[in-house]
Amino acid sequence: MADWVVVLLVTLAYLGLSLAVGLLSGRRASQGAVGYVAGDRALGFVVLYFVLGASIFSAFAFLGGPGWAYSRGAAAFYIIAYGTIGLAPWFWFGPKVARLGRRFGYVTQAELFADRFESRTLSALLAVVSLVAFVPYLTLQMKGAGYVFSVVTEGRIPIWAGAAIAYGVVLVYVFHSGILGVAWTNTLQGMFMMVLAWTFGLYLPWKLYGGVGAMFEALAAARPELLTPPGLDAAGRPWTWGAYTSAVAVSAIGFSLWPHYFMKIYTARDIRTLKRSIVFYPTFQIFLLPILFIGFAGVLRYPGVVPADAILPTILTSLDLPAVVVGLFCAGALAASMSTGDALVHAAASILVRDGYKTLWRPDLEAGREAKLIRRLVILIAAVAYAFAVASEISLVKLLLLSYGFVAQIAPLLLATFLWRRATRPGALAGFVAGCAVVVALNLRPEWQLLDLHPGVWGVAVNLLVGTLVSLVTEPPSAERVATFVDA
Amino acid sequence: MEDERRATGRWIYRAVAVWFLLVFWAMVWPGYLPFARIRPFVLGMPFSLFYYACVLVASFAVLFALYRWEVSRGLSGEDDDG
Repeated sequence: MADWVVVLLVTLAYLGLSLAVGLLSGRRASQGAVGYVAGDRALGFVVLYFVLGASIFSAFAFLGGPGWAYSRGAAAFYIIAYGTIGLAPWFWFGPKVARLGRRFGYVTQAELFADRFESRTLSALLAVVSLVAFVPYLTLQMKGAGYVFSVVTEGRIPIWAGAAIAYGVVLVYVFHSGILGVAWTNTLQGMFMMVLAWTFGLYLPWKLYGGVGAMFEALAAARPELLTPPGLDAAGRPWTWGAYTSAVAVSAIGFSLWPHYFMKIYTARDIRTLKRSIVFYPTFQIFLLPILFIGFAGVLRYPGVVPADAILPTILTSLDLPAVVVGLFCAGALAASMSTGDALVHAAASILVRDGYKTLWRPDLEAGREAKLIRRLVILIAAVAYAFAVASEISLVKLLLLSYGFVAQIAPLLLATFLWRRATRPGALAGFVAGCAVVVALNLRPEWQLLDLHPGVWGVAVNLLVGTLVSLVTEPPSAERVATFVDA
Repeated sequence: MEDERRATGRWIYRAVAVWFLLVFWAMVWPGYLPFARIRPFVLGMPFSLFYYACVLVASFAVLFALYRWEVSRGLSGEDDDG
């Protein structure tokens, strides 16, 4: 049997297993929106731990992470930096969000903020921003999945077909099982990613250099500029500390606030389970070390690989490894892509229905009908992202940068909700709109950026300033209402 | 007695918040500068990467200790959900 056929069979077997887990898991959920979107608020520690781990590590982990280490060296360390601090704020606000979710029936992020500031406009704005942020992110996951298929089958399965196969499976289990399908497949995918990352991350340096230490010694001698923080920029020039620092800041802020991630707070069985999952999250995150080792392993032995994201498949297909091992890599990369992609599809559909349609036009929407509508939108959103993945020439990386800038603008809303009793609806709205406008303006006119800082940082600064000033000159909200949130 | 317990609790939460602010500072400019170098190699890694791994592990230890402290005081929220 030809090697590529074995690779394909291993990959398809993995997809089959994901599908089975995804379909079986959904049988226990109730039929309404709380069952479909928040898993009846019943996820235990192990599942929530893997959901938090796997749904943030996307196709970027297996392709982009090694690609960054390979082409930009120490710049890739910023991923570890923002992950170290990114989830810690959840320990403080996670229990408050979960308690309020149970009390008032929230299952999305916007429901919390819209309720605190009594603003349907804010709900709609957050729905739009979430969608703008999700679609490029999801599209990149699909492209990543298609790319993996294409490389390991030596082009016999084109990117469009690979993306269709992987996301066909995602679509079926998300449609059928909702968040429980996402959660249990994330558990499978998370375990798989961890095992493969450590295996490849330790094996490849050993195979190519005789060990991790020998690899870094060789790199330090031949390419010291690559190992010296803050590493290199995308053009191969030294990166600036301003860009490095602000990338860590914006990513750390965005990390805990991505709406699809934030929504997982509502799925926890209880506060203790939520806190335990947050505490143990770094034990998942440490797998970024072997991921970066993979990229560094390619620098001296495989120079000139373009795009840099192809470094891991390039190494694996050139090493004469058993086809089963290459197939396992393929499955691992798909796991990384799908574990984020499924959460995005599910969250985007839920947000559009709950925060857009239901809030603006149909507050009386019956729970069963709502879940049905979310399922239909799951199909629509997957189709739109797929169309972008196979047909669009738009720079997704640029859109993704915009996304991070937008998501960071949610941080002042969170602070205002839980910390500042004087924050008002006009203040929250004005701050959020001003922050997003700054992000858009600085992305359109990069020459306006000061100190080489990420546009999101300037957006947050303007957001805080405008939000504070407008709140101070507008009528204070009811003390009783605010206390519900600040004292939660 | 109860006031004293509350004061201790507030002090601990503030200390953990300060810890994470310091961690942010220590991982970016300028706190990272003294550690942003290749040598010495530790566990085979450049010093800058080993340092990040240490900060990650230390942050895990701090949050774990806070969680254990909450559990020991019955503050971890096991009985405040529905």
